[in-house]
Amino acid sequence: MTKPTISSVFISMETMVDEIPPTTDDRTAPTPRAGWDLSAERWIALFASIARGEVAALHDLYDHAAHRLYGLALWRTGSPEDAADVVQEVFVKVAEQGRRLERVRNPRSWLLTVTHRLAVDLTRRRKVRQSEVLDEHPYLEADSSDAGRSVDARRASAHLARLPGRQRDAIYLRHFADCTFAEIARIVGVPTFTAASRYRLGLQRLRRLMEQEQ
Amino acid sequence: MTSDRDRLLDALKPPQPPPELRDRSLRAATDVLRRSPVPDRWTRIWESRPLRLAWAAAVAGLLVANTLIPTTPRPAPATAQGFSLHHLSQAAEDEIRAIATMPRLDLNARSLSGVVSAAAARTGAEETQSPNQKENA
Repeated sequence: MTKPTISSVFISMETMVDEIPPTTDDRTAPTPRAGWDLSAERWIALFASIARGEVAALHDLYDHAAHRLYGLALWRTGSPEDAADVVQEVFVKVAEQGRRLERVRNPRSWLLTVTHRLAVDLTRRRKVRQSEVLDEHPYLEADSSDAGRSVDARRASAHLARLPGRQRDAIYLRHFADCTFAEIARIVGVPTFTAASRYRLGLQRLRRLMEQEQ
Repeated sequence: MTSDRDRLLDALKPPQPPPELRDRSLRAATDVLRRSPVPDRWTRIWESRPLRLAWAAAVAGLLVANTLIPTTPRPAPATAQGFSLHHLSQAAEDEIRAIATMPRLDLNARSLSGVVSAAAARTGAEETQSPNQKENA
């Protein structure tokens, strides 16, 4: 089996956009889905445990969610330090909610929403304070120690850094957080069509950047 | 579709969070979890400083407005009956005056009795007099 190049992967991703689910399905989407190694019921049970004040549940939550939340924060802020601050703040927010956590119907989506908002707030504050070059940090890394993959990861990170943050959010949430377009829309606070459009435009631009490089 | 997505996920992934973040985050969250529970919505509203300031500003505004608005009593409005009688009598007088001073349209018109006053035809002042008045004169 031949290894796919990064450009072929992005091109094939773009063809996926034509298979956007109809919005009628999206309207019925609030039921939580399994993902991130836990079933929907287990997520709700985890939140209920935290709501009862169980510290061990907080540790479980970190183990299952921190990676995805950190990635989203990193893709939005462009800074590992800021992303770490955002994740810490998310867990503080979780702990602050207390009994209200029992009412959260889709904990995964809720966590991503909180992370996204905190990351956006932090990015706005940072922009006021300093203008940083955000493309120095990798958004992606290779799964293995394969040198070719590492080069691909660096190239993809450089291209991702040139995308608008909103398009980067959509790509991340779709591909690395396992979200439907309806979930992405709820997380970033836009209509479902807009979320799908941002995703499609982001991939188109990535594809162009890859083609220009080759 | 699934295979494409899996291929991308197999190829690349977002970076892992730094190892020290786990301790940092969980320590901060645990501290909050062990603290007193977060007050409910009504308590937060009651204890909210901006809302208290808004309430104080509203009360102060009402007091100022109450002080500044003049409190001298207005003249009592006329009763409906007095108002209508006064205006009716005034209107009748105006109408009678208008009839009395109305100019004649045809200076050669004869009165009902057929007598034309030569003096009335000559002088403009007498034009305003009715034929009956002239006959009486």
